[in-house]
Parts: sequence; C-alpha cells; structure tokens
Amino acid sequence: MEGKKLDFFVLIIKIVTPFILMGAGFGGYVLLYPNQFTDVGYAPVQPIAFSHKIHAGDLSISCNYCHGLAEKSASASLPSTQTCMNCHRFVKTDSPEVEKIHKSFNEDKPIEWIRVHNLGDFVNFRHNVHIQAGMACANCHGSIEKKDVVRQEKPLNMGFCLDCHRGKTEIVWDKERVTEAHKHQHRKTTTVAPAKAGIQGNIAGWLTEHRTMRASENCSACHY
Amino acid sequence: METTEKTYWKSFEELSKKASYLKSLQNEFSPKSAEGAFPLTRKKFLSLLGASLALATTSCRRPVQKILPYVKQPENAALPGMAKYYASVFSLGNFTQGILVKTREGRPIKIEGNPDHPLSSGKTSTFAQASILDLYDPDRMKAPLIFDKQVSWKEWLRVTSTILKNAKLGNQKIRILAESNASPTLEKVFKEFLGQFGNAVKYEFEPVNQEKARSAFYKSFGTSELPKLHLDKAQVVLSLNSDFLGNQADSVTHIQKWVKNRKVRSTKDNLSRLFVVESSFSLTGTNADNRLALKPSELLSFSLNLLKRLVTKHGLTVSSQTQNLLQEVEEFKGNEYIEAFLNAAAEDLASHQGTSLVVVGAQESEELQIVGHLLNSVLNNMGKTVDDKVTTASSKNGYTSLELLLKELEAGQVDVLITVGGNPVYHLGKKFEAALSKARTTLRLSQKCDETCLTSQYVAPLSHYLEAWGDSAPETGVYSVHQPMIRPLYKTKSEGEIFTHWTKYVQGKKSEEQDWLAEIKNTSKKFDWKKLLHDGVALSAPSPRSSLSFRNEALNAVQEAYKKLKTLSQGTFELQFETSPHTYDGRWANHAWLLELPHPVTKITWDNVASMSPETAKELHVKQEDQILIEIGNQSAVLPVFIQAGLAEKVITTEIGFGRTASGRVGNNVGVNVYPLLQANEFSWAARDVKVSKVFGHYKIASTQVHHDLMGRPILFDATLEEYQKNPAFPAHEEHGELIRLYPSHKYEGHKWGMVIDMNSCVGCSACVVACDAENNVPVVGKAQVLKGREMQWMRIDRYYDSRNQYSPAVFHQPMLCQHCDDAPCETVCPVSATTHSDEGINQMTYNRCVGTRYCSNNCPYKVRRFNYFNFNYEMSESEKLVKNPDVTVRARGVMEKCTFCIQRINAGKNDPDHIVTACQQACPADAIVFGDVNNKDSEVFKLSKLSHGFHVLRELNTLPAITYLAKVRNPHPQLIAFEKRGTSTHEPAHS
Repeated sequence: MEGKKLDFFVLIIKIVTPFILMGAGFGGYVLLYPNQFTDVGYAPVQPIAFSHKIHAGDLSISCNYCHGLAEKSASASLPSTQTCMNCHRFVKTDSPEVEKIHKSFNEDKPIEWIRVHNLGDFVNFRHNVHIQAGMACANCHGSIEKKDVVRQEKPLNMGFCLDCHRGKTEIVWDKERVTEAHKHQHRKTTTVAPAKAGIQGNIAGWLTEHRTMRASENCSACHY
Repeated sequence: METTEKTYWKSFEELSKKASYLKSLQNEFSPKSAEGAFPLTRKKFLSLLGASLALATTSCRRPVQKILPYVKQPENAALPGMAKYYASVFSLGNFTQGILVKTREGRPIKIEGNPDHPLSSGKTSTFAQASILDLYDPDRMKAPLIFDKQVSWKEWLRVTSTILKNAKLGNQKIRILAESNASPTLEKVFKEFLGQFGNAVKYEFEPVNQEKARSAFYKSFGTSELPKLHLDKAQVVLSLNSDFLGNQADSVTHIQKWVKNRKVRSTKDNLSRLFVVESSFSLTGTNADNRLALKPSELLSFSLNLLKRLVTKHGLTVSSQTQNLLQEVEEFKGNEYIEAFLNAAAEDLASHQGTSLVVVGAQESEELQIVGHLLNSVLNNMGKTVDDKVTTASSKNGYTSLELLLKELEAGQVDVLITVGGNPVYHLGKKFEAALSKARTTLRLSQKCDETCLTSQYVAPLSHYLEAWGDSAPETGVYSVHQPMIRPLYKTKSEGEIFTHWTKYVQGKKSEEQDWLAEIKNTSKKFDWKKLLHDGVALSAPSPRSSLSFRNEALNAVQEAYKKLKTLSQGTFELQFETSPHTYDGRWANHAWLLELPHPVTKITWDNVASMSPETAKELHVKQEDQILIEIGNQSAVLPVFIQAGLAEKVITTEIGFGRTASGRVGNNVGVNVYPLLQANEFSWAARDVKVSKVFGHYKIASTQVHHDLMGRPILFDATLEEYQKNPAFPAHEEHGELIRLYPSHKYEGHKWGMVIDMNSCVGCSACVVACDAENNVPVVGKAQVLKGREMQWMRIDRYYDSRNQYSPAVFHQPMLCQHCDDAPCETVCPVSATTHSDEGINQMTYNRCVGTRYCSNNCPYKVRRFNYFNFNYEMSESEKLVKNPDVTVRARGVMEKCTFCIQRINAGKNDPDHIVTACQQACPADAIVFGDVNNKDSEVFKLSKLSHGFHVLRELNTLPAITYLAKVRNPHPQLIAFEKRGTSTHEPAHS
C-alpha cells in the first residue's frame, strides 16, 4: 500500500472507544448489581439449622444472651454449646437439630459454625466501642430477628462504615442503653462537646437530635 | 530445456522426502513444540481470557471461615479479644523479678512488671521482656530422648527411675550438677532426693556466680550473704567495676532506686553523684558523673589509696590493723586526672558518711570486695545505704566448689551424673566434656538440646517457666509462686515434677501428677493460696538483719594480695570479661530479639568483640574490624577489634556467651566463644599477662550507630548542675533565623497525645526497645541486613559521646522514636496518604494503603521509619506465630512501619484515658518515659513538658514534635570539671 496517509484521529477513536465501552459496561454492571461485588446476600448453610426468627424474634431473647462478649470485646463471640443446653436440655429434645446440640455437648466437640460477617485482616473492627456507644445490632446486621438463616444484609465495606462515621446514615439506637448512659456523665473521650445540661432523662429529645452521629474518621481507629 | 534447480538440504529427512517428515512440516508450530503440556492455540487463549474475566466478576469470595465456640465454657475462660493477666516471676539464677503476664486466647504474649513485687515494682529488664519469646522457641526440645532416640515420658521415667533404684541398691555414686535457682521447694525436693541415697551429692554452678561476693562478705562480716544496696539513700556512690545499672540480674531494682536522686524538676533539686572506676565501658560507666578507666590490676591499689586518703586527709578513724595495712600502701602512680579523681572521691565520700555507698562488682577478686566492705564500714554506711540481703540461695555456685566433682569425674568414680539446666559443657569446656563422658550414666534435664545434651545419654525436656508451677524466694520475706499460663506446648515437665517422681519411685511409693504442686502448696501453706496466686507475691517479715561490723582478720587476705601485686609483671595486656547484654552467659544465644538488640554501649548486634582504646589499637597495629588472637595459657580465641573510647591502655574487654554450637537455628556460630579463655583463667574475670597479636582477616561488625549520623546538628543538650541552676532554660538557644510554618495548625479539642523523655532518668538499659519489639510484632532481620542499616526496631537508644574530658568521654543516652510531629515531613510526601495525622495528634500509619515508595522515610529528619525490605515475617515457625500480638498488624514486605505511640493501647484504653501506658513506658525501670494527654492540664506529661530544661530535637526544623526531651544535667565534682573543656553544648556523634 502506498501513499495512504495515517489518519490519527480515526486511529485514536479506534483504540480508545473499545476501552470506553468496556469501562462503561463494567461500571454499569457494578452499579446495577452491587451485591455481586460485596458480600451482601451471603447466607451459608450452617451445621445446625438455628433460626434467629424463633429465638430472637418470637421468643424475644436478647442478643446479649448469646453474644454477650459484644459489649466487652472486639469480637461478639458465639455462644458455647452450654448456652444452648441451658434451655435445650428440656426444650424440643426430639428435634433432629437439637440432637446435634446434644451430640456436641456429650462428645465435647464444638459446633463448627460458618462465619458470615468477615472483614479483611487489615481491619480491626471492635464491637465493644459501638455497643457501648449505644448502637443497636440491627445497624450492621439488619433485622436478624426476622430471619431464619443468617444473611449478610449490609456490604460492610469501608464506605459503609465511613457513611455512618461521617453522619450520613441514620442510626438505630439501643434505647435501653442510651437511657442508661444518659443517667451518668457523658464520656469525656469524645471529641464532640459533651451533652448539654438538661438533656439527661430527655431521651426522646436526644434521639431526635441524634438521628445520625459523627464518629472518629481517623485511619488508626480501625487500621493499626 | 533443462532447469538447473539447486537443491540445498539441511537434513537427510528432507532429501528422503518421507511422508512423515512432510506431514511434520505442515504443523510448523506443533502442539508438542509449544512449552508445557497442554495445547493452547491463540484462539483458545483469547476465549479463556474472556471467560475468566467474566467468571471473576461473579463471585470472588473469601474462603469459608469457621467459628468454633466452647462446648462447656469454663468459669475464667479465655475469651476472644479479651486479655487476661496472670502474676508470675521471672528468675535469672538466684535473682527474681515479679511480672504480670498478658495472655490472649489462652497463650501468653507480653510480659509486664508486677507493681506489687518489691524487687521490681512494676518494671522489667530486657531479659524479662525477652523471655516471652523463649517459650515459643522452635528449637526447644519436644520429647524425651534415650540415646538420641525419642521416647515417651512413661518410658523415659521408667528407665531412669530403674537406673536410680539400682544405683541406690548398689550404693553407687550419684552426683547432681544444677544451675542456680531461688526456689525453696525445689531445694527441698533436691534434698529429699539426695537423702534417699547413701552417696549422693549436689553441686551448683553458674558462670556468673556469687561465690566470691559471698565469700568476701563472710570474711568481712561473718555471714555468707550478698550486699543489699539502698541506692536511693546514697548521695555519693562509688562503683569499683560494678555494673549495677547494667543488665545484671537485679539491675531493675538498682535503676529504680538510683534514679530517685537523679530527677531534675526544679533548680532546688539536688542530684546524687556517681563516681565510676572501671576497666571496661559498662552501662553504669555511661551514667557516671565522673569516670576513671583503669586496668583491672590497678583497682586494688586504687581503692587502698582512696582509703588512705580518707584517713590521712579527712581524718576518718580506722582500726590499727587497717592502719598497718595502709602504711604498706604505696602512692598510686598515675596522671594528674587520677590524682584529682582520688581527691574528689575521697572528699565526697568523707563528707557523706552514712549517705555514701561503695559498690564493688560481684565478679571482682575477694580482696577488692573486702576493701569495698571496709570502705563502707569506715564511712559508716553499714545499715544505712547497704546491709545484707538475707537469702536462702546457695553460696557455693562458683568454679572452686566444683573442684571435688571434677576430680571424681576425671577419675571415673561417678556412676550417675545428673545435670539440671545450665550448660556445663559449654561453660566448662572440653575438659569437662571429656570428664562427663567418663561417668557411667549421664542424665540431663534441660529446655533445649544444647552442648551438654549432646553428650548425655538420657535427656528430658524441661518446661518453660510460663508453662510450669514453681516458686521463688530470692530474699527472706519475699515469696512468690509462678503458675502455668498455658499447657506445655511440647511434651515437657518441670524439674520438680521429675525429681518428686524419682524420689517416690526409689522409696517404693506411687507418684502422682500433682506431687510437685502439692510440695509448693506445702511450702506456701502459711499464705492464702488464692491471694498468693493473684498478687504474685506474699510479703512477710524478713529475717532480722545482722549488725554488720567489719572483721579485721579479713585484711590479712588483702595484705597478701597487695604484696603479691607488686611482684607481678607490670605493663602487660589485661583482659576483662563481661556478661553479655545479649545472651547473659550464653543462655539466650538463640534469642533473635536479644541478639539484634543494639548493645547499650557499643550498639553492636549479633557479635561479641574485643574492645580496646585507640592507643592500644595503635600499639597492636590494628584498626576497627581487624582481628586479633588472644591467648591465655594454652587457650586462645580470635576476636574482631572494636575501638572503644574511654578504656585504659593495654586493656581489652570482651563478652562471654557467644560462639555456641548447639543453641538453635539463630544462635549457632554467632560470635566467638571466649569461655576457653575464662576457663584458662580459672573463672577469674580479669586476666593479666595476656598474649595479644594481630591476625590476618577482616570481620564486619554490625553496629547500629554508624548509620543515622546526624552531622553535628544540635540534637541534645546537657549542663552541669551548677550551670542548670544558673540558667534553667539552657537548652533554649538562639534560633538560626525565624522558625517558619508552612501549614495551618491542628486543633486538638479532645485528647492530644504527647510524651516526655527524661534524659536524666534514662540509663540506656534498652528494656523499652525489647518491650516495644514484643508489643508491636517487630521482626528481626539478621546481621546482613543490620549491616545495611535495615534493622527494624521502632525505638532506638542513640548513644552520644562527647570528648570534653580526654580521660573519659561523657556519654548520653537518647531514646529516639517517631516524634509524631504536628507538621510531620512524612505526611505530606506520601503519594497514597498512607500516613496521616489523627485528630488526637498521632501520626498514623495505615499499612494496607502503603505501596512502599519510602518517600516518607526519606523525608523524616529523625530517621525513625522502618521499611520491610523483605518478608521478614513470612518464614515463621508455627510456634513463633503464637507470640505475635493479635492487636497489631503483622507487616508484610513493602510496607513502612514506625512507632505508633501504641495506638492499639490508646484505642483500647479510651474509657480510662489517664491510665494509658505505652509499652516502653511500662517497661522502663527509671520511669524515663512519660506518656499521656497533653490537653489534660493535670497530667504528668503536661507538667513535665513545661519544664524549662525541656527541648525538642532538631527544633529549628519546626516539625513540632509531640515528644519533649528533658535535657541532661550532670553532677561532676567541681575539682574534676577543670578537666572538661567546655565549649558549645552541641555534640558530635561518635565516629566508631
């Protein structure tokens, strides 16, 4: 071929367009189906078909009864087989699922639960700080008491955490804990000015004012 | 027409035109010619690429993780994320420190001091901090051995018990050679064991022993004890080759007490004065107000001259026998400095009768120690600044007490030899090894398979102290129990368990597993058991201190020794042995943290060296990193040369505890074994008439103080007490021009974390460095990387010399760590914002964001940032992973790290912010580091940061560091200040 001048404009269009299309396609896919890229919807089959709907929902057992470590430690912990046996020594002993609990207790073999909510190793999320601040479990775990199988409801990515820390997400408060906390002096560890005088006892007022709450935006709060 | 076609050919196949050949030509890129087994055409490759891309978008899920809760949760269960603390004790020979051990999820991970224990008062030494890693040493022995074959415990106990039973029946000779311990129950068990046999004797040996000290004390005062120093009551302290602040076994208490009189808070404060006369450059020497370097052989003459001056010039009354002795003492032949030093020391001691203290090193000759006791008696210090430490420990753990045993062994008279702990083959050398092999049966109990194990027939692994029960009573009135915090990691037992089993078997009784624990409970029955375990110590009334009056008969030995000195040849090379701050006596040769810890004085890692003054080196025609051959008797060692300022001429110092051959993967063949020299010198720690010659060869020494050369910039300040009282704000000097700021100020409305480091308190012991290593999962890099300046410790103690006094340089210790600058030069240059400033003043490090540009380290003027050049944490044995702190990220390759002000502790401690302590602060015996909220006007850190002699390092850079240093105030004697050429207060780092 001779003499055909190279049309740069067309060449650039020919190279760049596929990339733009691919980028748009991928981006659109991510936006339309975000749950494909987070762990939302993860609901593995557990070794025992434990239903939160029955226990936490219908029977109204408090979250702290089984996950008591949440207010003290970084990890919320799972209940020991002993905790289940507290009731299931007598309750529904004919059920094959409860049989599994008995088996674990009698053979001294722990129940091998599948972990649902997991963050990367580079994140140090601590439950105790959040629970002590008065946040309800539902903020991050959704309405677990309505579910038979535990399913991850929220993406739990850094953006999700920062949205709340930056005061953009509405918080579901643990009313009992908030009431209790406001009977005592407000912690002097916050960087926000302490509660105004007169707010103590006026929980409804406090709740209206604090639909959202800002918290630490320091990297070292979670990454250390 | 004929066409002449040329036919070129490359192979016969081509010519033959075989069908198979033609077919092969079709497939030029035959699948078999491609690399690998599977045929991948271009088309297939592209389709696979597309498919994998699509698949990747569907579910890239993390692997399935399981959670296994308890089945039956015990009452005081180890719960995830919750730390539990248990009280225990850390023992080094006869000396004990009370500790609290932090355990997480059932395993110990960090050691802190026990504030209730009187011998450590909540602080720890480097060895106590480092002992946590010992538990997880992958080279520990994991099962009993019989003739190098692994057997079960049942088998081992059965075989050895039978041997002992037969020995009893045959009335055989049984000998035990054990290391020193402070456990009364173990001593009782030993005694009971020995009582079963007709001919059983126990010997004790430690290379670093108290034999001479106890013997000298006995000769001087009639009771075989050790001196207990009350350094806080002394205004004048004279050390004669005593490294009481250094990492000897009880230095934690000494540091705490001595530092009480060194705190400078206002111009009204009085400082004590420390005179150090020594032949090496010890840690105590670096803290001296006045220091004198002498040859080891000159110390006796010096001390006698000092006593003479006290009598003649200051009129102290002494006994007639002392007068007679002093008449024979000749004038000390030295230069004007020594003369002035003698006068100054005599003057100070004489004017502080009852508030002065003379301390002599425990390894010095008996005669020198007797003179020390005499000086204290004459100065009326007995019962005031020094009295006796009433102990239950043995007085016979030295070399001379082994004489009989060695004779018996060599004559082949010993039937059964049991070695318990220690490492006699390494300490005592080839002669002992040969003698040991003459014993008919050799049993050994030890934690690691060391040099002695290799020559023993029946070897049993011992539990680490954190895995076993035990007790300790280092002094009367102080009793502690140490409890197991983790089930033994391997199949190990403690000495007590084994010996109680043997005793019961020989008696024909059945032994129970709880026998040893029952013995301990019996010893402690006068205390409440639960309270004892909880508190970690039970205090009771100590035995009454005897009134210590000096016995003049002791002077006979001194007289003899002094006379003998004069007959010995003068002017020869002398060698001074030291314990090693790295391995002590060799027991921690496999401990990577300790080996990489820079030596407190020389800053050397991974080696022992022969230190000598520049003049001595010139005489020998050697330079640094050359090698010399040292010969004593028929033993020799080749050591690398290290030039050390402040040593007397013709004095060489070196450290024991290196050159091991069976310590484990880390410690084998590190350094040089100088025990043969010590053995040839009959375990006397100073040798004379030493032959020294240069040998060919160059040896690289990994010292950390040759990097970070701060080129004479003013980084520390010091003054004498007088100068400070005249000008309390002496560190404030004229700025060179205006200090500018490029950035707006940070506003700290909540907490602002800051720190004050008091250079008057810091003695340089480096406990903070090891504590930081343990708390923050700091990796170890090895000698080759240290040579490149890549050591990873977040904290370092910069040691600066100043040669104002030509006879002995002034030394300063300055702990250096991330300054958490408000205007941090590192924060602005990170391209990915991996290091940012928190709203509480912390310079944060986000490891997962760091890409490894190292621009931050480049910009840091303090050079405190550490980069992971390799995956230092990757090749970790399974057991080493257990020591890591789960609250701190374990960093991989390519990530920058640095001091975080223990952000994990800050985050965890927010509910009680006034009591947050960093790891370094918690370990420091001198309380030199104070951390806290500077915004809290009542906090100690705020008050200290406002002191007039506080300063920021490299202030003119205006980085606004969060750490305030309190400048060093020295207290030299006025007569000796004349020898210090005072100029500016800037300091040049030593060019070692």
